Amino acid sequence: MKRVCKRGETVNHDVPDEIMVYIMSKLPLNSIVRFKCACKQWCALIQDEAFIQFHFSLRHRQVNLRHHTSFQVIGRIGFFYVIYSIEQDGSSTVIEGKFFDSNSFIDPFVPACNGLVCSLGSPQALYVSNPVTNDSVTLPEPRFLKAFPPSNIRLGFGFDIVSKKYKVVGCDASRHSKIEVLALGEESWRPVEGNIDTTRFKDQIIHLNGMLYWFSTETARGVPRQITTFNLTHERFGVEISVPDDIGFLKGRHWLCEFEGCLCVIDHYQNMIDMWVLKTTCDNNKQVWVNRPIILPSELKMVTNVIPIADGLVLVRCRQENNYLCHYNQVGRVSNVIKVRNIPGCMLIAGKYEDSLVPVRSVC
Amino acid sequence: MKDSFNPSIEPPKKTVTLVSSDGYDFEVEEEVALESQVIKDGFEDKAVDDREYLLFNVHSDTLELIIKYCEKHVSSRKSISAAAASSSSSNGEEALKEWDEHFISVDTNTLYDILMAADYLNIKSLLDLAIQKVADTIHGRSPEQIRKKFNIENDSIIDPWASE
Repeated sequence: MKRVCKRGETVNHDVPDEIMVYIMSKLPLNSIVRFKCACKQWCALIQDEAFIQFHFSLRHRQVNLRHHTSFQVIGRIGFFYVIYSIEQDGSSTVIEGKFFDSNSFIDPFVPACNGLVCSLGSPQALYVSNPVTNDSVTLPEPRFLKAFPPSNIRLGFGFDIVSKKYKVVGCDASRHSKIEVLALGEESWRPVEGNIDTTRFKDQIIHLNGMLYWFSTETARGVPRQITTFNLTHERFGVEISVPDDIGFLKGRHWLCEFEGCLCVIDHYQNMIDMWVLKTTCDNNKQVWVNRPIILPSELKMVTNVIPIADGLVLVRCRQENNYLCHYNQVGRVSNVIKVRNIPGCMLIAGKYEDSLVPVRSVC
Repeated sequence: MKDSFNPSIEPPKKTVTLVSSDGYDFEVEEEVALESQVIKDGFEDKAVDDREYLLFNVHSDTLELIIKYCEKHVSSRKSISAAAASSSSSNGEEALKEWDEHFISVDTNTLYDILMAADYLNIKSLLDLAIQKVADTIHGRSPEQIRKKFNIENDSIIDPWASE
């Protein structure tokens, strides 16, 4: 036994690793990362692959069970992106994780997967970084990087569960060009087979369960018609998904996002939101769009942005530059509106984020 | 189980003896000692008259606290279930939570001792309580404050001020 000294005397607290892991699982990631420099034992532990996996699965379970009291979002001022943690009571704090992107993203979306972010940084190059651990790598240069202005670059970033590799898919939407793909750790980009008209890519690409999705065609009124799918394992385009017939009914903005593990199209106009969720039916595995409409209280006018957080909770931004957490019930009636504090008005919320300790260097 | 002939006299409570690392004996009720999973696991194998446990890793100061905790939890569990059985309202669980909160508000050295003892004796609820307390203590502090608080030697190879 190490401790044979009187009370009040300085003792060396040797905490076994398994207890340390347990303690850390109770802490937010930014606290964990900050203590990387507290001592060697801690530093070694948070770089341990088993611990990273454990922490990630634990976090994921908490999110799924809705035991979490806080969630994270990516905020943007100009080209700078910052990560915020927002509590259920509306208070928020900045997490020490920042990154830069020369505006190739269309709000409200950032290509992030398992806590890693793919962005167009400065000097102009593609980077994959973990903003929380402040760790990043520069990717080889693809052809589409020459796109001008850079806002024409479309980027998709996801994890292929079969090869266990992160993959980046990108193209130049300003002209007919090849779509290119890169598995992290590879030396060069590969063109994707198939003739896809890249000029049709109006929106950003989202990642969900090893697939990438994006709107590809629009009607004259700006209502999307088709969703293109890309399989990250086979690196091939899949069947196009038709958007629900009733979409565009509200004639507002549309975008794709993830909702409870399903693909979701958000259609909103003023204080009305349609959330179209793509559900798979139990019999014959058919996919159907189910609408989950939400009617916001009339004082929340001019909503510019809607981010689903969990079932029954959305984060909305109004033109008066305020963000609100809205709890809604099964029929879409909002029961509780909480104003989010401590986020400056000029800060746009670019999307939801799930922090992780996944080290960038080890995935390359 | 009460004696059916003489219900007014309770049978003597079974006890076990816990011996601390510095050689002090603590006689506690069986059910209190069984809060520890480690004692519970080895309990059946021991002879009835030889229920003595040598706890080499637990100092008498800490053991006293641990026993206090277990006694409190055993007794309030009983009163909570009694209240539930008679369907009378009780705030027993909240009161216990408050008591826990007060119990764990100790200095760092004591907290460390409780943490290690709870781990050694495998008392799940106490371990949870101590771990949450440590996490709360750590949350929002700088590495320097943490080193000071937990007497950690600065053996870090990472310079916190170095830009990565």
